[in-house]
Amino acid sequence: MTATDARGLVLRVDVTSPVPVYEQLREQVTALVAAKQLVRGDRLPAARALAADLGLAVGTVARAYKELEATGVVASRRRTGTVVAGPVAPSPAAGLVADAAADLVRVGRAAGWTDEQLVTALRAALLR
Amino acid sequence: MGGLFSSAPVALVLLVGLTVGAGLAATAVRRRQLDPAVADARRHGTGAGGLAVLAGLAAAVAVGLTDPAARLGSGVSAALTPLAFAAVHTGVLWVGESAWPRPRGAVRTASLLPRRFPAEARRVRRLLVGAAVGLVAVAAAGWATSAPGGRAVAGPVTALPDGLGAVGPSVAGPYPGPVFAVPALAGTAVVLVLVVLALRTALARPAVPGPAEAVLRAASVHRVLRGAAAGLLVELGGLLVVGCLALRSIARGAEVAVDTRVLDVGGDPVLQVLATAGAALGGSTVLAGLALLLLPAPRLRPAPPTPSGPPPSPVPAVPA
Repeated sequence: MTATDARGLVLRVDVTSPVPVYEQLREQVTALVAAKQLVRGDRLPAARALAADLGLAVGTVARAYKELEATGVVASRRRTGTVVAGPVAPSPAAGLVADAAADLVRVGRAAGWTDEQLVTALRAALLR
Repeated sequence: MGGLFSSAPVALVLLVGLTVGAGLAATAVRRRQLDPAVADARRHGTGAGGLAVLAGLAAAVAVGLTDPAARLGSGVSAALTPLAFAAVHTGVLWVGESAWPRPRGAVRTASLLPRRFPAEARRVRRLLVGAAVGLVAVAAAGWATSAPGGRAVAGPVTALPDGLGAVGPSVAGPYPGPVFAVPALAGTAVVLVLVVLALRTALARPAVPGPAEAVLRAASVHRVLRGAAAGLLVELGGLLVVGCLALRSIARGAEVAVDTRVLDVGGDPVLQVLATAGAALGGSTVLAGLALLLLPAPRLRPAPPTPSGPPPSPVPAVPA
Protein backbone atom coordinates (compact mmCIF):
# COMPACT_ATOMS: atom_id res chain seq x y z
CA MET A 1 0.00 0.00 0.00
CA THR A 2 1.31 3.41 -0.88
CA ALA A 3 0.73 5.83 1.95
CA THR A 4 1.94 9.00 0.26
CA ASP A 5 1.84 10.35 -3.26
CA ALA A 6 5.34 9.95 -4.68
CA ARG A 7 4.38 11.66 -7.94
CA GLY A 8 6.13 14.91 -7.10
CA LEU A 9 9.20 13.33 -5.54
CA VAL A 10 12.25 13.38 -7.73
CA LEU A 11 15.70 11.92 -7.25
CA ARG A 12 18.60 13.70 -8.85
CA VAL A 13 22.11 12.40 -9.35
CA ASP A 14 25.22 14.05 -10.68
CA VAL A 15 27.40 11.45 -12.34
CA THR A 16 30.39 13.86 -12.32
CA SER A 17 30.18 14.41 -8.57
CA PRO A 18 32.99 12.97 -6.42
CA VAL A 19 30.25 11.48 -4.22
CA PRO A 20 29.46 8.00 -5.56
CA VAL A 21 26.09 7.81 -7.30
CA TYR A 22 24.80 5.05 -5.02
CA GLU A 23 25.66 7.28 -2.04
CA GLN A 24 23.75 10.19 -3.60
CA LEU A 25 20.72 7.96 -3.98
CA ARG A 26 21.03 6.63 -0.43
CA GLU A 27 21.31 10.14 1.01
CA GLN A 28 18.29 11.44 -0.88
CA VAL A 29 16.00 8.55 0.02
CA THR A 30 17.12 8.81 3.66
CA ALA A 31 16.38 12.54 3.60
CA LEU A 32 12.91 11.94 2.14
CA VAL A 33 12.13 9.40 4.84
CA ALA A 34 13.48 11.66 7.58
CA ALA A 35 11.33 14.50 6.23
CA LYS A 36 8.31 12.14 6.20
CA GLN A 37 7.80 12.71 2.47
CA LEU A 38 8.17 8.97 2.20
CA VAL A 39 6.50 7.00 4.95
CA ARG A 40 6.34 3.39 6.05
CA GLY A 41 4.80 1.22 3.33
CA ASP A 42 5.63 3.49 0.37
CA ARG A 43 6.95 1.53 -2.57
CA LEU A 44 10.14 2.58 -4.29
CA PRO A 45 10.59 2.00 -8.04
CA ALA A 46 12.16 -1.29 -9.07
CA ALA A 47 15.94 -1.02 -9.24
CA ARG A 48 15.81 -1.84 -12.96
CA ALA A 49 13.32 0.95 -13.71
CA LEU A 50 15.12 3.55 -11.59
CA ALA A 51 18.44 2.61 -13.20
CA ALA A 52 16.90 3.04 -16.66
CA ASP A 53 15.45 6.44 -15.77
CA LEU A 54 18.80 7.67 -14.46
CA GLY A 55 20.90 5.99 -17.14
CA LEU A 56 22.82 4.00 -14.52
CA ALA A 57 23.81 0.36 -14.16
CA VAL A 58 21.22 -1.70 -12.28
CA GLY A 59 23.93 -2.70 -9.82
CA THR A 60 24.43 0.94 -8.77
CA VAL A 61 20.78 1.33 -7.77
CA ALA A 62 20.76 -2.13 -6.24
CA ARG A 63 23.74 -1.15 -4.07
CA ALA A 64 21.94 2.00 -2.90
CA TYR A 65 18.88 -0.09 -2.01
CA LYS A 66 21.11 -2.61 -0.23
CA GLU A 67 22.70 0.13 1.85
CA LEU A 68 19.27 1.55 2.67
CA GLU A 69 18.11 -1.90 3.68
CA ALA A 70 21.16 -2.38 5.87
CA THR A 71 20.33 0.81 7.77
CA GLY A 72 16.68 -0.17 8.13
CA VAL A 73 15.30 2.64 5.95
CA VAL A 74 13.77 0.25 3.39
CA ALA A 75 12.90 -3.42 3.26
CA SER A 76 12.98 -5.63 0.19
CA ARG A 77 10.11 -8.05 -0.17
CA ARG A 78 9.74 -10.61 -2.88
CA ARG A 79 6.14 -9.74 -3.75
CA THR A 80 6.00 -6.00 -3.24
CA GLY A 81 9.55 -4.99 -4.09
CA THR A 82 11.40 -2.34 -2.10
CA VAL A 83 9.24 -0.50 0.43
CA VAL A 84 9.96 2.12 3.04
CA ALA A 85 10.38 0.49 6.43
CA GLY A 86 10.42 3.70 8.42
CA PRO A 87 12.85 6.32 9.64
CA VAL A 88 16.03 5.21 11.29
CA ALA A 89 15.80 5.28 15.10
CA PRO A 90 16.79 8.81 16.15
CA SER A 91 19.85 9.36 18.30
CA PRO A 92 19.55 11.50 21.47
CA ALA A 93 21.01 14.51 19.63
CA ALA A 94 18.76 14.10 16.61
CA GLY A 95 16.36 16.80 17.72
CA LEU A 96 19.14 19.36 18.18
CA VAL A 97 20.69 18.54 14.80
CA ALA A 98 17.29 18.67 13.07
CA ASP A 99 16.60 22.08 14.64
CA ALA A 100 20.01 23.37 13.55
CA ALA A 101 19.41 22.11 10.03
CA ALA A 102 16.01 23.80 9.98
CA ASP A 103 17.66 27.02 11.14
CA LEU A 104 20.21 26.73 8.33
CA VAL A 105 17.44 26.35 5.77
CA ARG A 106 15.42 29.22 7.28
CA VAL A 107 18.36 31.63 7.31
CA GLY A 108 19.46 30.57 3.83
CA ARG A 109 16.00 30.97 2.35
CA ALA A 110 15.64 34.38 3.98
CA ALA A 111 18.89 35.36 2.29
CA GLY A 112 17.58 34.08 -1.05
CA TRP A 113 19.93 31.12 -1.27
CA THR A 114 19.08 28.14 -3.45
CA ASP A 115 19.00 24.56 -2.18
CA GLU A 116 22.26 23.89 -3.96
CA GLN A 117 23.96 26.83 -2.25
CA LEU A 118 22.71 25.62 1.12
CA VAL A 119 24.01 22.12 0.51
CA THR A 120 27.35 23.54 -0.62
CA ALA A 121 27.55 25.57 2.58
CA LEU A 122 26.79 22.48 4.61
CA ARG A 123 29.42 20.47 2.77
CA ALA A 124 31.95 23.24 3.39
CA ALA A 125 31.10 23.16 7.09
CA LEU A 126 31.56 19.40 7.13
CA LEU A 127 35.04 19.79 5.69
CA ARG A 128 36.20 22.11 8.49
CA MET B 1 -6.20 -19.86 -44.36
CA GLY B 2 -4.07 -20.15 -47.48
CA GLY B 3 -5.65 -17.21 -49.24
CA LEU B 4 -5.67 -15.09 -46.15
CA PHE B 5 -3.52 -12.36 -47.56
CA SER B 6 -5.44 -12.07 -50.78
CA SER B 7 -8.83 -12.11 -49.10
CA ALA B 8 -11.21 -9.20 -49.09
CA PRO B 9 -11.15 -8.67 -45.28
CA VAL B 10 -7.37 -8.27 -45.27
CA ALA B 11 -7.48 -5.86 -48.19
CA LEU B 12 -10.25 -3.94 -46.44
CA VAL B 13 -8.30 -3.81 -43.19
CA LEU B 14 -5.20 -2.58 -45.06
CA LEU B 15 -7.26 0.13 -46.75
CA VAL B 16 -8.98 1.19 -43.53
CA GLY B 17 -5.63 0.99 -41.72
CA LEU B 18 -4.02 3.38 -44.17
CA THR B 19 -6.99 5.74 -43.80
CA VAL B 20 -6.93 5.56 -40.00
CA GLY B 21 -3.15 6.03 -39.97
CA ALA B 22 -3.39 9.09 -42.20
CA GLY B 23 -6.17 10.48 -39.98
CA LEU B 24 -4.17 9.90 -36.80
CA ALA B 25 -1.08 11.50 -38.34
CA ALA B 26 -3.10 14.52 -39.46
CA THR B 27 -4.67 15.05 -36.03
CA ALA B 28 -1.59 14.30 -33.91
CA VAL B 29 -0.13 16.98 -31.67
CA ARG B 30 2.47 18.81 -33.70
CA ARG B 31 6.12 18.27 -32.89
CA ARG B 32 6.70 21.96 -32.17
CA GLN B 33 4.02 21.79 -29.45
CA LEU B 34 6.01 19.15 -27.57
CA ASP B 35 9.13 19.11 -25.48
CA PRO B 36 11.95 17.94 -27.81
CA ALA B 37 12.64 14.88 -25.61
CA VAL B 38 8.95 13.95 -25.68
CA ALA B 39 8.76 14.48 -29.44
CA ASP B 40 11.81 12.26 -29.95
CA ALA B 41 10.33 9.59 -27.69
CA ARG B 42 7.03 9.68 -29.56
CA ARG B 43 8.85 9.35 -32.85
CA HIS B 44 10.84 6.40 -31.52
CA GLY B 45 7.66 4.67 -30.32
CA THR B 46 5.56 5.24 -33.41
CA GLY B 47 8.50 4.40 -35.66
CA ALA B 48 9.06 1.10 -33.88
CA GLY B 49 5.32 0.41 -34.04
CA GLY B 50 5.14 1.05 -37.78
CA LEU B 51 8.26 -1.00 -38.43
CA ALA B 52 6.83 -3.84 -36.33
CA VAL B 53 3.64 -3.96 -38.40
CA LEU B 54 5.56 -3.94 -41.70
CA ALA B 55 8.04 -6.59 -40.50
CA GLY B 56 5.18 -8.71 -39.15
CA LEU B 57 3.28 -8.53 -42.43
CA ALA B 58 6.44 -9.33 -44.38
CA ALA B 59 7.12 -12.34 -42.15
CA ALA B 60 3.56 -13.59 -42.52
CA VAL B 61 3.68 -13.26 -46.31
CA ALA B 62 7.10 -14.93 -46.44
CA VAL B 63 5.90 -17.86 -44.33
CA GLY B 64 2.78 -18.20 -46.47
CA LEU B 65 4.73 -18.14 -49.73
CA THR B 66 7.88 -20.12 -48.88
CA ASP B 67 6.13 -22.86 -46.86
CA PRO B 68 8.95 -23.41 -44.36
CA ALA B 69 6.84 -25.94 -42.43
CA ALA B 70 6.18 -28.12 -45.49
CA ARG B 71 7.70 -31.20 -43.85
CA LEU B 72 5.15 -30.92 -41.03
CA GLY B 73 2.30 -31.23 -43.50
CA SER B 74 0.47 -29.45 -46.27
CA GLY B 75 -1.12 -26.18 -45.15
CA VAL B 76 0.75 -25.95 -41.84
CA SER B 77 2.78 -22.93 -42.98
CA ALA B 78 -0.37 -21.12 -44.07
CA ALA B 79 -1.94 -21.90 -40.70
CA LEU B 80 1.06 -20.37 -38.93
CA THR B 81 1.06 -17.04 -40.78
CA PRO B 82 -0.88 -15.15 -38.04
CA LEU B 83 1.53 -16.42 -35.42
CA ALA B 84 4.50 -15.47 -37.60
CA PHE B 85 3.08 -11.95 -37.77
CA ALA B 86 2.57 -11.82 -34.00
CA ALA B 87 6.03 -13.19 -33.18
CA VAL B 88 7.94 -10.87 -35.53
CA HIS B 89 5.78 -7.87 -34.59
CA THR B 90 6.41 -8.46 -30.90
CA GLY B 91 10.12 -9.16 -31.46
CA VAL B 92 10.62 -5.90 -33.34
CA LEU B 93 8.83 -3.97 -30.59
CA TRP B 94 11.02 -5.68 -27.98
CA VAL B 95 14.12 -4.50 -29.82
CA GLY B 96 12.59 -1.04 -30.20
CA GLU B 97 11.88 -0.78 -26.48
CA SER B 98 15.37 -2.06 -25.67
CA ALA B 99 16.84 0.67 -27.88
CA TRP B 100 14.88 3.47 -26.17
CA PRO B 101 17.12 6.56 -25.82
CA ARG B 102 19.08 6.50 -22.55
CA PRO B 103 19.40 9.61 -20.37
CA ARG B 104 22.51 11.68 -21.01
CA GLY B 105 24.19 14.56 -19.28
CA ALA B 106 25.89 14.88 -15.92
CA VAL B 107 22.76 15.63 -13.87
CA ARG B 108 19.85 13.21 -14.23
CA THR B 109 16.50 13.03 -12.53
CA ALA B 110 13.96 10.28 -11.95
CA SER B 111 10.52 10.16 -10.41
CA LEU B 112 10.03 8.02 -7.32
CA LEU B 113 6.62 6.91 -8.54
CA PRO B 114 6.70 3.12 -8.95
CA ARG B 115 5.86 1.75 -12.38
CA ARG B 116 2.43 0.20 -12.77
CA PHE B 117 0.81 -1.61 -15.63
CA PRO B 118 -1.04 1.09 -17.61
CA ALA B 119 -4.80 1.03 -17.02
CA GLU B 120 -5.40 1.90 -20.69
CA ALA B 121 -3.87 -1.40 -21.79
CA ARG B 122 -5.74 -3.71 -19.41
CA ARG B 123 -8.54 -4.41 -21.87
CA VAL B 124 -6.13 -5.49 -24.60
CA ARG B 125 -4.29 -7.64 -22.05
CA ARG B 126 -7.55 -9.43 -21.21
CA LEU B 127 -8.12 -9.92 -24.93
CA LEU B 128 -4.66 -11.46 -25.34
CA VAL B 129 -5.16 -13.82 -22.42
CA GLY B 130 -8.60 -14.79 -23.71
CA ALA B 131 -7.26 -15.44 -27.21
CA ALA B 132 -4.41 -17.56 -25.86
CA VAL B 133 -6.73 -19.60 -23.64
CA GLY B 134 -9.20 -20.06 -26.51
CA LEU B 135 -6.43 -21.10 -28.88
CA VAL B 136 -5.10 -23.69 -26.44
CA ALA B 137 -8.63 -25.01 -25.86
CA VAL B 138 -9.42 -25.30 -29.58
CA ALA B 139 -6.06 -26.91 -30.35
CA ALA B 140 -6.46 -29.37 -27.48
CA ALA B 141 -10.02 -30.23 -28.50
CA GLY B 142 -8.97 -30.68 -32.12
CA TRP B 143 -6.02 -32.82 -31.06
CA ALA B 144 -8.24 -35.01 -28.88
CA THR B 145 -11.00 -35.55 -31.46
CA SER B 146 -9.02 -35.86 -34.69
CA ALA B 147 -8.79 -39.00 -36.78
CA PRO B 148 -5.55 -41.01 -37.00
CA GLY B 149 -3.20 -39.00 -39.19
CA GLY B 150 -3.87 -35.84 -37.22
CA ARG B 151 -5.28 -33.61 -39.95
CA ALA B 152 -8.90 -34.77 -40.37
CA VAL B 153 -11.93 -35.71 -38.31
CA ALA B 154 -13.87 -38.96 -38.72
CA GLY B 155 -17.62 -39.43 -38.41
CA PRO B 156 -19.35 -42.42 -36.85
CA VAL B 157 -19.89 -45.79 -38.51
CA THR B 158 -23.58 -46.02 -39.46
CA ALA B 159 -25.49 -49.27 -39.70
CA LEU B 160 -27.71 -49.57 -42.78
CA PRO B 161 -31.30 -50.82 -42.45
CA ASP B 162 -32.46 -54.29 -43.48
CA GLY B 163 -29.16 -55.89 -42.67
CA LEU B 164 -27.37 -54.16 -45.52
CA GLY B 165 -24.23 -53.72 -43.45
CA ALA B 166 -22.63 -50.49 -42.36
CA VAL B 167 -21.01 -47.46 -43.94
CA GLY B 168 -18.41 -45.09 -42.66
CA PRO B 169 -16.67 -43.60 -41.09
CA SER B 170 -16.64 -40.55 -43.33
CA VAL B 171 -13.61 -38.31 -42.97
CA ALA B 172 -13.38 -34.53 -43.40
CA GLY B 173 -10.46 -32.15 -43.22
CA PRO B 174 -8.46 -30.07 -42.76
CA TYR B 175 -9.08 -30.30 -39.05
CA PRO B 176 -6.94 -28.90 -36.20
CA GLY B 177 -5.55 -32.26 -35.13
CA PRO B 178 -1.96 -32.60 -33.92
CA VAL B 179 -0.53 -31.79 -37.38
CA PHE B 180 -1.89 -28.25 -36.98
CA ALA B 181 -2.37 -28.07 -33.22
CA VAL B 182 1.22 -28.81 -32.17
CA PRO B 183 2.82 -26.07 -34.33
CA ALA B 184 0.04 -23.68 -33.31
CA LEU B 185 0.62 -24.36 -29.62
CA ALA B 186 4.39 -24.02 -30.03
CA GLY B 187 3.94 -20.77 -31.96
CA THR B 188 1.58 -19.44 -29.30
CA ALA B 189 4.13 -20.22 -26.60
CA VAL B 190 6.83 -18.35 -28.56
CA VAL B 191 4.54 -15.32 -28.98
CA LEU B 192 3.66 -15.26 -25.27
CA VAL B 193 7.31 -15.48 -24.22
CA LEU B 194 8.16 -12.58 -26.55
CA VAL B 195 5.22 -10.59 -25.15
CA VAL B 196 6.48 -11.07 -21.58
CA LEU B 197 10.00 -9.97 -22.58
CA ALA B 198 8.72 -6.96 -24.53
CA LEU B 199 6.39 -5.90 -21.71
CA ARG B 200 9.15 -6.20 -19.09
CA THR B 201 11.35 -4.01 -21.27
CA ALA B 202 8.58 -1.49 -22.00
CA LEU B 203 7.71 -1.14 -18.32
CA ALA B 204 11.32 -0.61 -17.26
CA ARG B 205 12.66 1.55 -20.06
CA PRO B 206 13.80 5.13 -19.33
CA ALA B 207 11.06 7.60 -18.50
CA VAL B 208 10.15 10.64 -20.55
CA PRO B 209 9.97 13.94 -18.67
CA GLY B 210 6.57 15.30 -17.68
CA PRO B 211 3.02 14.01 -17.98
CA ALA B 212 3.68 12.55 -21.44
CA GLU B 213 5.51 9.69 -19.71
CA ALA B 214 2.33 7.83 -18.74
CA VAL B 215 0.83 8.19 -22.22
CA LEU B 216 3.94 7.09 -24.08
CA ARG B 217 4.49 4.09 -21.82
CA ALA B 218 0.83 3.08 -22.16
CA ALA B 219 1.18 3.39 -25.93
CA SER B 220 4.25 1.11 -25.92
CA VAL B 221 2.47 -1.54 -23.86
CA HIS B 222 -0.66 -1.20 -25.98
CA ARG B 223 1.30 -1.79 -29.20
CA VAL B 224 2.92 -4.95 -27.84
CA LEU B 225 -0.37 -6.41 -26.65
CA ARG B 226 -2.35 -5.29 -29.70
CA GLY B 227 -0.15 -7.03 -32.28
CA ALA B 228 0.14 -10.24 -30.27
CA ALA B 229 -3.57 -10.37 -29.47
CA ALA B 230 -4.45 -9.72 -33.12
CA GLY B 231 -2.22 -12.58 -34.28
CA LEU B 232 -3.61 -15.00 -31.71
CA LEU B 233 -7.20 -14.01 -32.48
CA VAL B 234 -6.73 -14.57 -36.22
CA GLU B 235 -5.07 -17.93 -35.52
CA LEU B 236 -7.86 -18.92 -33.14
CA GLY B 237 -10.52 -17.86 -35.62
CA GLY B 238 -8.80 -19.71 -38.45
CA LEU B 239 -8.60 -22.95 -36.44
CA LEU B 240 -12.25 -22.57 -35.44
CA VAL B 241 -13.36 -22.02 -39.04
CA VAL B 242 -11.53 -25.01 -40.54
CA GLY B 243 -12.40 -27.27 -37.62
CA CYS B 244 -16.07 -26.36 -37.60
CA LEU B 245 -16.36 -26.63 -41.39
CA ALA B 246 -14.94 -30.16 -41.17
CA LEU B 247 -17.39 -31.02 -38.42
CA ARG B 248 -20.27 -29.59 -40.43
CA SER B 249 -19.25 -31.71 -43.38
CA ILE B 250 -19.38 -34.81 -41.17
CA ALA B 251 -22.70 -33.75 -39.65
CA ARG B 252 -24.36 -33.42 -43.02
CA GLY B 253 -24.30 -37.20 -43.50
CA ALA B 254 -24.20 -38.84 -46.92
CA GLU B 255 -26.31 -40.52 -49.53
CA VAL B 256 -25.50 -44.18 -50.11
CA ALA B 257 -26.71 -46.11 -53.16
CA VAL B 258 -27.60 -49.71 -52.33
CA ASP B 259 -28.93 -51.72 -55.27
CA THR B 260 -31.69 -49.50 -56.63
CA ARG B 261 -32.20 -47.55 -53.45
CA VAL B 262 -30.51 -44.33 -52.28
CA LEU B 263 -30.28 -44.13 -48.49
CA ASP B 264 -29.54 -41.06 -46.37
CA VAL B 265 -27.10 -42.20 -43.70
CA GLY B 266 -25.55 -40.43 -40.79
CA GLY B 267 -26.29 -36.79 -40.33
CA ASP B 268 -26.58 -34.91 -37.09
CA PRO B 269 -28.73 -31.75 -37.31
CA VAL B 270 -27.67 -30.50 -33.87
CA LEU B 271 -23.97 -30.87 -34.66
CA GLN B 272 -24.58 -29.22 -38.01
CA VAL B 273 -26.10 -26.16 -36.36
CA LEU B 274 -23.37 -26.02 -33.73
CA ALA B 275 -20.63 -26.39 -36.33
CA THR B 276 -22.17 -23.66 -38.49
CA ALA B 277 -22.35 -21.37 -35.48
CA GLY B 278 -18.74 -22.24 -34.58
CA ALA B 279 -17.56 -21.44 -38.10
CA ALA B 280 -19.39 -18.10 -37.98
CA LEU B 281 -17.82 -17.39 -34.59
CA GLY B 282 -14.42 -18.26 -36.02
CA GLY B 283 -14.94 -15.92 -38.96
CA SER B 284 -15.98 -13.16 -36.58
CA THR B 285 -12.89 -13.81 -34.46
CA VAL B 286 -10.65 -13.46 -37.53
CA LEU B 287 -12.31 -10.15 -38.39
CA ALA B 288 -12.03 -8.98 -34.77
CA GLY B 289 -8.30 -9.80 -34.79
CA LEU B 290 -7.78 -7.85 -38.00
CA ALA B 291 -9.86 -4.94 -36.69
CA LEU B 292 -7.84 -4.91 -33.46
CA LEU B 293 -4.79 -3.84 -35.47
CA LEU B 294 -6.66 -0.63 -36.25
CA LEU B 295 -7.23 0.25 -32.60
CA PRO B 296 -5.11 3.36 -32.00
CA ALA B 297 -2.62 3.41 -29.15
CA PRO B 298 -3.06 6.09 -26.45
CA ARG B 299 -2.11 9.46 -27.89
CA LEU B 300 -0.53 12.63 -26.57
CA ARG B 301 -2.89 15.54 -26.12
CA PRO B 302 -1.96 19.23 -26.34
CA ALA B 303 -0.30 20.33 -23.12
CA PRO B 304 -2.57 22.32 -20.75
CA PRO B 305 -1.54 25.84 -19.77
CA THR B 306 1.55 25.84 -17.56
CA PRO B 307 0.57 25.91 -13.85
CA SER B 308 1.64 29.00 -11.96
CA GLY B 309 3.38 27.13 -9.11
CA PRO B 310 7.05 26.14 -9.19
CA PRO B 311 7.97 22.66 -10.44
CA PRO B 312 8.73 20.00 -7.81
CA SER B 313 12.22 20.56 -6.56
CA PRO B 314 14.68 17.73 -6.38
CA VAL B 315 15.66 16.41 -3.01
CA PRO B 316 18.88 18.02 -1.76
CA ALA B 317 21.58 15.58 -0.79
CA VAL B 318 21.63 15.56 3.00
CA PRO B 319 24.03 13.25 4.79
CA ALA B 320 22.23 10.66 6.86
